Amino acid sequence: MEFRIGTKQILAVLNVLSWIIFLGLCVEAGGIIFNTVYALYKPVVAQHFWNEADLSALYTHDKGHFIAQTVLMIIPAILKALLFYLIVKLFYNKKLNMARPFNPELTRVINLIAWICMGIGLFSFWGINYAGWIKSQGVSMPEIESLRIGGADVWLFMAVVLFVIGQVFKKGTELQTESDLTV
Amino acid sequence: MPIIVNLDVMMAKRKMSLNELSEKVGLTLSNLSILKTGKAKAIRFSTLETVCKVLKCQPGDILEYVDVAEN
Repeated sequence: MEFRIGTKQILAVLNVLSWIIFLGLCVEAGGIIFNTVYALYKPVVAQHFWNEADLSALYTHDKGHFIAQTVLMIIPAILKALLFYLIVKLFYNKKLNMARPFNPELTRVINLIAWICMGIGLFSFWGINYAGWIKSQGVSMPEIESLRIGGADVWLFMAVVLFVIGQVFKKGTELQTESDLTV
Repeated sequence: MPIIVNLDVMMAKRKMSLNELSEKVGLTLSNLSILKTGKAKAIRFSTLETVCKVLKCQPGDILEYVDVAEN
């Protein structure tokens, strides 16, 4: 028996996956923001900050550095949630029309996603370097993975790939418009 | 664009409406409207052939080149 998986089924699976990832990222971003604010009033929270990340040493070392490090965790977390918000939105406002895939709106969304990926990459890179610098000051810091800012190079690589795809879509949109206006 | 579409002039000469031309040529009204208003980016030879056949004219009667720099 042969199974045929069509575009519709793949899109349905991607829709569900995007929703799960989006909700997860919203929880993560919200959790980091909440714990940052909460830690300012109750320092013990810094010990179990997020995902086994113990930032108590950083908190006791300097509150300013603690806030700067958490802000560098919050910005990529918000951008990741925003990225998946745009992807989820694509499925609902019918911009992803498979009969006419090349449209100016989709090109705009791809370019926006590319810029967001670049933002995540740059802020994660900044966060990793900042954490490294704090560590070099002799402060005990958790692993980068538990700070949720790992993989900055991958995000930057993805941004470049998406910019190229955006350019392809731009050309595709021009060709589609020309094809539509050919009688 | 320096290419002017004189479809409306030929239609008036032949006393043919857009609906009638649409039926005879086999093009949708919207596509014919795109052609008539000069919004079209290209015209297929097959379309041009049918329009000329129906309107009993030459391609030059429908399409005209106007030098934009001169005007």
